[in-house]
Amino acid sequence: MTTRPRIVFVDDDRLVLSGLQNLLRKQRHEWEQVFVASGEAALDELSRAPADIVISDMRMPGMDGPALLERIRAQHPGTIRIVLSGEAERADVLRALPAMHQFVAKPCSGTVLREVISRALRVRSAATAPIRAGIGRLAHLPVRHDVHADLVRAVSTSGVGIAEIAVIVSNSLALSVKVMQLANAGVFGAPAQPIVTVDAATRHLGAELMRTLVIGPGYLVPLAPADTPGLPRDFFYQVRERAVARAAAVGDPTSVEHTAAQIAEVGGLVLALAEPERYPPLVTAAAGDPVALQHMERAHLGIDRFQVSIYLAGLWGLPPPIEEAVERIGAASARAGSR
Amino acid sequence: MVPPSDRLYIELTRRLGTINVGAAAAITALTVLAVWGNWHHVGQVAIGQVAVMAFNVWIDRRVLGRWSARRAETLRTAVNLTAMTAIGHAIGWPIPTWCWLPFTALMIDQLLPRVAWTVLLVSCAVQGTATILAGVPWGLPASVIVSSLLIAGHTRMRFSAMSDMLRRSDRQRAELAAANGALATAHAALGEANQRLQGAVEARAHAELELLQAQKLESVGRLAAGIAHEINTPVQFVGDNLQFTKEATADLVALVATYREVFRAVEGGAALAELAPQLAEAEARCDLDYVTEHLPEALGQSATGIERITAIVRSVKDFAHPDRNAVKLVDLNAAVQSTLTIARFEYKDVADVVTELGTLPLVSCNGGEINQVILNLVVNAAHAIGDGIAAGRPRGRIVVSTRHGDDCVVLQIRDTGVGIPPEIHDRIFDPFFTTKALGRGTGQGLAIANAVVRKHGGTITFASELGVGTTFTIRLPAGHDQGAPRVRAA
Repeated sequence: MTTRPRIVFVDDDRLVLSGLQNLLRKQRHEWEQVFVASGEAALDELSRAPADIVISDMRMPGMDGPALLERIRAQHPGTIRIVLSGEAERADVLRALPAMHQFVAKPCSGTVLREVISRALRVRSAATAPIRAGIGRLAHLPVRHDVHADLVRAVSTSGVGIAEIAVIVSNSLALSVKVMQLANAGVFGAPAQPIVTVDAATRHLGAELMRTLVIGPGYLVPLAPADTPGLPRDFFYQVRERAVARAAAVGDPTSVEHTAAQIAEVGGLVLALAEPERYPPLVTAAAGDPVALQHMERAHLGIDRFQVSIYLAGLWGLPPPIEEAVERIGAASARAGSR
Repeated sequence: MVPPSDRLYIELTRRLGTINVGAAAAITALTVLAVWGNWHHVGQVAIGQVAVMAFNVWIDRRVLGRWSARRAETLRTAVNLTAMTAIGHAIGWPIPTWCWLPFTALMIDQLLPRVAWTVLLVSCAVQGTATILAGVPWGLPASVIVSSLLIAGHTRMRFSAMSDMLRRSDRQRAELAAANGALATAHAALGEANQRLQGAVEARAHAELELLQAQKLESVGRLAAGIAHEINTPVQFVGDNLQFTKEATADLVALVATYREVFRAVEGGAALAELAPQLAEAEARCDLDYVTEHLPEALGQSATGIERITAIVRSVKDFAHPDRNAVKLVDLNAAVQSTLTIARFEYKDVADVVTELGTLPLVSCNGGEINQVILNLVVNAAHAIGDGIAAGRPRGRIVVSTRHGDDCVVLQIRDTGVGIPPEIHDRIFDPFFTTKALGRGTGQGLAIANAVVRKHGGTITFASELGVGTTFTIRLPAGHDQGAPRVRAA
């Protein structure tokens, strides 16, 4: 019993809760499902026993969804935080952005909901607890300070087209992954089919939303080398160069592989931020050898950066083909090392 | 061009013409009487006087008005005095001839300043000297000369004073004309300003109308998001329950199939006890306990969900008022109900809403606009309560009440929000005045409410206490009984 994944559903509407219970009745032996009607009750549940996933409504009297998820981020960082909401106001959705991992729009079918939960549970089991907690604690999206400055300039200047903004976005691995997530989440108009390139994702979101995202409070934070003292000063450039080199080797810029090649390295950034004590020494020791670094990651952290990228792709609900492509890249890199 | 002072002089001369002629005739007659009998002298007087008169008439008719009065009169005075001196000398200075000197001095005025005085003084000197030489005692010419000079000085001063007055009055008239001109200019400017003001009033009315439209759009946009949310929620659980019902029904059908199999087997002679485990397994597979417990409930909840969606859709239709611009007889209570339904999303998390709806006559108004007023006030009430909750106060309460007052219908919206600070009481109806955070309001809500209520001939007032709450009161004229007013119970 205790090994069953535990999922807490939060919604102030009891009818929604009983609908979800009926919908997921066949999984009730497989997953421990808890249904609570308020943010306060959800926090009580979590302090009683930690949960793997919390799925919460946005609008609730008292503690609302964003506030609840923020509390969970601080108190239970290892818990995956998913929003299930009928919210149609973009501004309100953006409010939940810092604390949520995924946004699922109401109404959603049983198939989608089950898939979201299964996938989150699957990627979760692939990551170690410290990594999960480290990633879970991250509230803001770190963007290299120079890229951040370019973005602010681009969205504040009239006449800068969305294509140009997309190019700048692709200079930041973390932001690239974020726009892919948002574009595919269906919050801002569901795409007809999964969006798999950064350019298409940025265009899908549009200039207005990108502007809000970039200059809105607390979504993106500029990251300067001084913020990561243990790392080599050019660490973020190294990561970026590896991503660019790998993407260039793929060729076709509209392919899933091209995007996957770009974002496969994002795990390295996440590790740098989530493991500020343990990761920098490994980077220093690897001395710029990416394969050696991968082995050290596995040996010392129990997870390599590609696996972290896969975890992030699953956690944020990126289209599965991207996740699979990253998995292939990680495996290829590991094989190259063992030869 | 004859100067105004000349005109006055000519006018005076003409008016004095009769007296002058009479006086001249009288002096002449006296002179003639004084020398009566001495026919030689009478003849000299007559000829001299006729010549002087003819000359004077010529001056009056032909010269005066063509020459300057000054030149004409100088000439006249010189000629007359010379003639008189000559006549006097010729007839031996009888007393009446002395009358000419003061008579002429009477005519001396400012128009003939130096020359006339010279002529007069010369004449005085010549006449005085001539008469004294002729043996006339000096007292007579001296008295006549002194009185003549006095008369001349007096006349001159009087004339000068009159002329001054005339000039002053001329100046005053010019000033008056200038003032008149300025007044006319001011009047024209006033007219223009009036016209501009009228234009501004019209523009303002137009802007108010545009504001109304813009705010309508804004509230529709905000409501649309809320309504979408309100519909998405029941759609979610109705869909979930439908999915559950579908699966459960399939499971039940499979279970029934198993039961029928067992039934046929038992009919064929099989022992029921042996088949019981098969049934138990089928029931477990079907999840029978769960299904029997939850299926009826799921269908009931789905019906509830559909009702909720229906109510929202109906209210949206009522609120939207396809005939938005028409003034119609509107049931204000129904307007309150439908507006509260679609605005539920705005207040449900912060306040309970209570309605106290009295029996009302139908009100002749634009339903769409009145709905918007109610919406704006309810949204404000919800925001005021929300601000209180953010500051740690408990869930609030909004009371919407209607009643039939004297000749009017009264609509009140009372909240338990944070209240309106007294220092902004006089500004809350101003367009673009807002205390709300960016994105929560553009400061049009109350301006629009005020404009709409005024347009309907009603009033909107409020009473507010900080930390206690605010009450907005709208009075609309009950007016226009078109047929028997339909009455709706609360």
